[in-house]
Amino acid sequence: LGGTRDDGFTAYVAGRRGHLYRTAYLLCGDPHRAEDIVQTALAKLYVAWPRASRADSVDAYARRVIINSHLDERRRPWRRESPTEEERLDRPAPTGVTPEDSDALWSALRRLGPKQRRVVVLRHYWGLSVEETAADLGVSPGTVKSQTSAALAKLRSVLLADTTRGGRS
Amino acid sequence: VTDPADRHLEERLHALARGIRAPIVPAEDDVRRGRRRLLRLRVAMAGATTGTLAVVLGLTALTAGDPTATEPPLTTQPPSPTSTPPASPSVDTERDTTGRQQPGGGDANTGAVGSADHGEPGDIGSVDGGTAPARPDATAVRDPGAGAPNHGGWPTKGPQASEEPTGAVPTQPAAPTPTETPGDTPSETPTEEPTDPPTVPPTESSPVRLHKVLRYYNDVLAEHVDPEREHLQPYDRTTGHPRRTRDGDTFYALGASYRWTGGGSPPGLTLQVASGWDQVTWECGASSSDWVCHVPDGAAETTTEMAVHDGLRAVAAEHPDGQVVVVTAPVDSDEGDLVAAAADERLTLPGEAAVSPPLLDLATFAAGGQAALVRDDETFAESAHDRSPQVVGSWADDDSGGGTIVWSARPRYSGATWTCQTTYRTCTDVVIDDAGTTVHLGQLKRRAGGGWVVQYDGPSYAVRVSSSDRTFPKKRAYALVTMADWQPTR
Repeated sequence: LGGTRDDGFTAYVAGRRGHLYRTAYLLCGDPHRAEDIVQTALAKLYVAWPRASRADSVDAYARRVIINSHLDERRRPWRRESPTEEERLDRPAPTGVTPEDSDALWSALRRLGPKQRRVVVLRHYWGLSVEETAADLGVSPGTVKSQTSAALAKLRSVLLADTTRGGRS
Repeated sequence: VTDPADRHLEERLHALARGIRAPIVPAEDDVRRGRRRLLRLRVAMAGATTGTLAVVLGLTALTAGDPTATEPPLTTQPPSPTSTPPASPSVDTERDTTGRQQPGGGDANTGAVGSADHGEPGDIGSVDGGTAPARPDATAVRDPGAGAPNHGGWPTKGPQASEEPTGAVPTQPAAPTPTETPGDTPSETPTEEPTDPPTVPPTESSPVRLHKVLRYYNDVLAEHVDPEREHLQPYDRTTGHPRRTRDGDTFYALGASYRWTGGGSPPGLTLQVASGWDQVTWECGASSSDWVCHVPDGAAETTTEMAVHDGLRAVAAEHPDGQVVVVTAPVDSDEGDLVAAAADERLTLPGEAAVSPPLLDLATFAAGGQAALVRDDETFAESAHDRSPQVVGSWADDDSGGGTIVWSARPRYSGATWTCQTTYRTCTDVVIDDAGTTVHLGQLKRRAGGGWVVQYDGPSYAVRVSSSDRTFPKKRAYALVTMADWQPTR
């Protein structure tokens, strides 16, 4: 039984760990916290693997665990401080996006509230529907829609302002 | 996502995510972390299950253990003692209304809790506070003639009921004091008629229900001194001043006062049930006591004594198991009734009772000490003694040497043991023979009177000799304290 669990879990982790890590990174904006979230989520996933593997989508299960782990992380008193901007200074510029774009997008994401950020990540990074996002977050579809609308408006304004400042400079 | 702006945002988000370099973590690490979490969960669940089961079983046992229905018949002897004495049993007391003296008719200065002259406040058993009671200072015997220096002080340990005042003995039941009552509180109110003989002794129940035991004592007393219940009132926890001495679950003493109405006997009855003579207030045999003592008719001297003091009549009876019961009543009480009450073996300590060694005979101890310590060409004048036992006197030789010497013994079971006190200048252990027998030697500081203290902690008694003259030969003390005669066992 243990061998079956380990084999399936190992195969899943080998294929999807990076994606889960990026999700966590987009949610929290901090590499170390993202790794913590992923490790915690994968440990929980291992415990629940027999049940999760029987589900239609292990990804869905893992995604929810990531979201919940992110919530748990944020609730811990020693996690309430916000990461500084300098934490990304030693990161290489992402490929396919200019450093300016990256910084502008990061800044815009950081200015979103946690709930709006989760909605953006689930809908526009994971590509989930409103209903799927609502199910993942445990909120109503209407809430997802309103939060998506508000988040996108804020992102557009931030990115537009950033682009305007970049154009002036 | 149909809005071009939103689609553009989505593309940028994916591009940003692609730029995030995920750390390379072997899947085995995640498997290992998962296994640990799984193990923790399983252990926690097993623990929770076990705990829940234990609670359920405990509650079941408690609810099923109605003492009124399941208590076994009375047995008189609690579990036998061990040779190792407890460190410092505690005294929980409200107030003792009977007197002021130390056990075994002993130390007349027992009211001086602890060795105040050592600068060590006695470990008085505070009211239900669980602190250790004090052991009296052997040299603090009321002995104006001897003027014994502070060289024989016993360490302040042991379950001595030492909180009682040294002065006047109350002639009426003391008014209710605001001190707390012992923690054991029976959950039920008495339902039997006062005149009913106690058929289900609570002394064997566990946990001990203190007030229930004291109520039971009251019933036993009533059978002897007031069968019709015309005067002796049932035990009342608010006025009973329960007093106990215990170390953990081991009881050393337990007592209370019971109201007596009418009949010209306002003081009421006070009862002490103790593990030995060292745990009761009994001055008979002490040279400094003003108690008038005699052996009741038909009673053996070694087991039962009657005393009249301070307008009270008291009887002390030693039971076959070594426990001592002291009943104090108005002086006009019937002597025979009190003797019968004190000798009633149902008056026994509840639960796990400490067991004392046989009381050393004072005359034998005094004679043996004098023979070992004083040579024929020397003089010794005894100035005080008590039955704890302890002897105090002045020693002198032809070479103008002299001073006060004290020899005494304290039972080990109640905590007597060697302690290097602050008034000692030095403390050493001396091996006195090839068998490795070790005695403790303490040299007293000059401000404490000088001289030395020698003590041997035997299996039954800690025997001590002290001299105010530091030139007094210690070898004589070594021989005395290690004599097998002072280590009787029960």
